[in-house]
Amino acid sequence: MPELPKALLRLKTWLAYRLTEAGRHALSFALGLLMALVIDYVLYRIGLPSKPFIYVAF
Amino acid sequence: MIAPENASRPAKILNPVTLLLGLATGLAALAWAGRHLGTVDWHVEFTRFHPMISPEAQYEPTVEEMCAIVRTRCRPDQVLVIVGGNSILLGVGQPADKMWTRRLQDELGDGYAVVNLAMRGSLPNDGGAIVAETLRKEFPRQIYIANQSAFPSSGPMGSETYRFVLFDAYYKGYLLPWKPRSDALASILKTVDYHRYHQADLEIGGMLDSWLYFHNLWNWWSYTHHFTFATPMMPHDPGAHWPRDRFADAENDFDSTPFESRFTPQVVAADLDLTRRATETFYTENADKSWTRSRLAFRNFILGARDEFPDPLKPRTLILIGRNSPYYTVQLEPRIRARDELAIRDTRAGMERLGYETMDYGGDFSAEDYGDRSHLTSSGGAKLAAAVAPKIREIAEKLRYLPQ
Repeated sequence: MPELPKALLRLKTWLAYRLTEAGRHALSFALGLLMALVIDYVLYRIGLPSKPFIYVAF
Repeated sequence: MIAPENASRPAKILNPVTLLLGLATGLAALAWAGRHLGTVDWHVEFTRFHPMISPEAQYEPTVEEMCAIVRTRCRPDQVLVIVGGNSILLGVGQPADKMWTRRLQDELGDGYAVVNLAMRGSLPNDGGAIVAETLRKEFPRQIYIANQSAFPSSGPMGSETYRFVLFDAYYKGYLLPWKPRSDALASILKTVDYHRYHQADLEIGGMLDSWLYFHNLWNWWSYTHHFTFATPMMPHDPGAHWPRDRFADAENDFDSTPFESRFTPQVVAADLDLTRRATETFYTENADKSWTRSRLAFRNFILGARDEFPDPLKPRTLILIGRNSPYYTVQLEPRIRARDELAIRDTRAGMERLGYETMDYGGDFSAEDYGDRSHLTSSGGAKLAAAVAPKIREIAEKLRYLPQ
């Protein structure tokens, strides 16, 4: 796995030490919501003739 | 602030169960929003599907979106008239205030509501036909109009460009059972060729959309807030990301385009050739200069036309058969013109035997009524509306749509 940039690594470590259990759940839930939004958008784009950049055409 | 128990081994930031819960909640909330938006008409200034809100500019309207457009424009006490078909019925070359469907509405009066859902290059059973079929129970007093030239018919599936509408309606269960279409759909769904990737995307996307309704949501966002991606096609910067409601229906006006720029020598040569060959493959010439119809071509046409619309919808479907501009047809030999007229008569007779309503137009139109070989100017559109209106009333009478 590629190494995270230094700033992100610091953020991750800081969050790991500082987040409460409730904070961890809140962050996980928010990230889940964000993932839903991204998936929803990608599904919409794949149906259109102009494909999103993640798309591989054979 | 609580420090983790083991300071040398920090706790994980994310909880996978909560993450999945967030994902599921997010998808459910977006699906609910998409489903709700399918009942809202956000096309406040809708005139027709002009290029900026059509697939040419990567805007693909959903069936629910088009149904919402119809709902806000047709009262329950009116007879619904949905216009499908191609760029001719879309009114290419006619500005919005002079387009032929406005004239048709004026001709028909308040008892009817005319909604133009035609799209460029669309076949008779594409988009508008699917919307009319979807609304068959909600608006049982409906007439659907589409156009075609003599002989060709599209079969049960319509064109590939507008197949996204068919899949949308199919996976959401809006279509009538119709064996020829079910067989054709089953056949292509069985043989998914992933090298024809857009077809596979439409199928899988249509299925997922019937659960998640993402197309309604992102179309609404694209129309009212922000178009999320630029395309190599229209619109170009600075409007690439503008919400599509910022674009008015700015259809070109044939009447303000000089004749010489519409009828350049190259265009005239190509269109004259097309006009001359329009019905060439359907007839063979006899020694006495009369024409004999090709049995094979006619059979193929009838089979295609039979499957084009479900039987219960044929009596309320009016197919308009158009003629080419007299600017070209007067240059043809009389025997070719006779063949074209024969093809129109044979096409109408064949379709009427199948249960469709038909009419032809253009026989009494002048060259000024056409902006090019086949599209009509505003004056041609007005003549078409005047010719179609009595036929609509006749069909409404025949189908007992009007108060007795």
